[in-house]
Amino acid sequence: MSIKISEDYNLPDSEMLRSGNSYKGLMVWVPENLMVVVGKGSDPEEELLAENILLDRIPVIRRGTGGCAVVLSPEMAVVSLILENDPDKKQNEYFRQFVGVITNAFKKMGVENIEMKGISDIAINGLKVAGSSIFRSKDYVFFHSIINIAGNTRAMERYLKFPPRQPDYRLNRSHRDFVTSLKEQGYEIDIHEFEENLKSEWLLHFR
Amino acid sequence: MLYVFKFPDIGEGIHEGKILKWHVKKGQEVMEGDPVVNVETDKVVTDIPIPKDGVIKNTYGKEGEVINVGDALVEMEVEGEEAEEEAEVKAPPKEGREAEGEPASRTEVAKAKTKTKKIEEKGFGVVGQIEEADTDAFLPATGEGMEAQAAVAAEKEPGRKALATPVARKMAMDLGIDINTVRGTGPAGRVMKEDIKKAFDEKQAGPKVARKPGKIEIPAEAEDMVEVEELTQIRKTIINRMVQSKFTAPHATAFEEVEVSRLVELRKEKKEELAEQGVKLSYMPFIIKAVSLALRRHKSLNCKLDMENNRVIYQKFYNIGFATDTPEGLMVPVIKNADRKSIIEIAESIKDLSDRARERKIQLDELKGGTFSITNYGSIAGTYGVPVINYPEVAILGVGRIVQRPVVKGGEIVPGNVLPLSMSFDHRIVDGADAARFIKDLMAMLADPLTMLMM
Repeated sequence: MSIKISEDYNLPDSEMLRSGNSYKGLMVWVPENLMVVVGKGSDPEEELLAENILLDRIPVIRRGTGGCAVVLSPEMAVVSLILENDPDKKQNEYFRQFVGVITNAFKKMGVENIEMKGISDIAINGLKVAGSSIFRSKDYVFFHSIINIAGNTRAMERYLKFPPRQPDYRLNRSHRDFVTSLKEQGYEIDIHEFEENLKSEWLLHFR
Repeated sequence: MLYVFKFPDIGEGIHEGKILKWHVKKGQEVMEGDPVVNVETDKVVTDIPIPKDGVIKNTYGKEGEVINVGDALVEMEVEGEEAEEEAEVKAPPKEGREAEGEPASRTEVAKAKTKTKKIEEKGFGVVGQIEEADTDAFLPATGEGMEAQAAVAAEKEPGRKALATPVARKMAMDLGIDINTVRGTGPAGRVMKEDIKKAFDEKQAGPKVARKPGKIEIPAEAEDMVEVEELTQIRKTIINRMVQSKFTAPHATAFEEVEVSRLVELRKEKKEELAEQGVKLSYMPFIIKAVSLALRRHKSLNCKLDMENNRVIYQKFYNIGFATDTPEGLMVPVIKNADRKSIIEIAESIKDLSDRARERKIQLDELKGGTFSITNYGSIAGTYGVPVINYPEVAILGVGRIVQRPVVKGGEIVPGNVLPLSMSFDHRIVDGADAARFIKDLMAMLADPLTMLMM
């Protein structure tokens, strides 16, 4: 059984990505339905539980950024941003800045013990609450981060295999033991308020 | 052999400086880059470095004396090839002074002439870092200001003999121009053919309206009732710049009001947080950022008018000058590439540049290269103004004090925070509609700062 992967990335931030450096901006959006998004170089066989995906008719889309496969659901929020590439800036510097802006925005909303972990994850109390990736061209940097606002890990366990690569702090933990949501950690997040906080943070810190 | 180091052209439009302190004495050995003299130029107090190794034979000019660009500063013995050429030196040593080791007074020796072995002088800057003047220099050289200065120079130095090539001298003679009254724009003030042509054209055009203010007499009976202060270099610069701008660029001014409650709220929210990180967040970083982004969309506000060549130069870089009140007077430090800086970076630059401007430690190149200026008189008091364009820029934004005022929002009268804006622009190149469109974009960003993210 093989999964059909849509190479036509048509999620809300696709316009941003297509515009490349002619567009500069930041958006926060919520997926309309459950789907699986694989990374640019993902091997579906290695990362996906194909049988369940086909059985549940879950759409699978390939994104332009790196990283492993993820599940998107309406209980999650995606931060997408694009800006002019600074060739002198290192990748990890970009991650640190982008992720820093997101964690600051949550801190403003009273979220505690939220921090950057691994290469580009965001964790609360050592549990992953968001993952991020970057696509970088000569002209622009496109970043997105998928934040688990209120979702549970059932979908991840059903559609995603244990990832082929893991950050140090994962320590071989299963999806259930490794991933959490802001709701699970006791935070009711208003997406609009989060977006406003995020934008004001970004306005101050970014060029 | 002897080498004469002249007061270098350290930036366009800087023609004179006051000697504050000599760092060297006769007989002293110096190395290339050593500061020889501390000079107050138009905007900064700075050390002048010597461009060669050698031994000081003489210094010209006393402390407190004003010297012109191209005047001899130091005569020194250097090692190297001799160039068999005679050069004129405006301020040669006076023997008596030489013997005493005291600097020769420029006024006493101005008319003298001496022979020396000439060594080609490279363009040298102050503090070893200042670049050669370019068209963006903070003191632009146009006929307006220069004319007055040349006249002043000629008055001050009736025996002044211009540096010029024989060709230029002949041309001046043929055209009936006294070359010694012509201001040279060539190296070390050399009078070029173009300078003579310009002088001739001006002569043909007839006398201009006198712009030199008359002498103010102080009646003897009023002497106790006034305080007289000599103009500082900075004040002289301000005077020249203001006159030059007003007599060159026909000013038009647009006024607007923008409701900035969201900006006030955002700034208030971030101010304390950033203060903990040592960043002082005023409204200026937001305004500078918004202006730089709006300029990217409105090129006519970020251009220079080159009348000599009948062309407009649209600049694709956005260097924003901000007027700074210093104890010595107005200075306009420039934040380079403001559109590519974050608001925090702009805030840090404002603090750094304005602190150093007040302490007079700012470098000349930090006062040059602006493409647009902002004057924030509102931080002291005032709502509207008619700011004077920082020529050769083509526009300046005046920012008044934010006032609480009733405003209509959604059909309701509510308290609002209103920021008054006054923008003067050079009406030769900026049309009223262009100015209005620029202000409209600027207002949108100030009303909702988050829209800057999309610009």
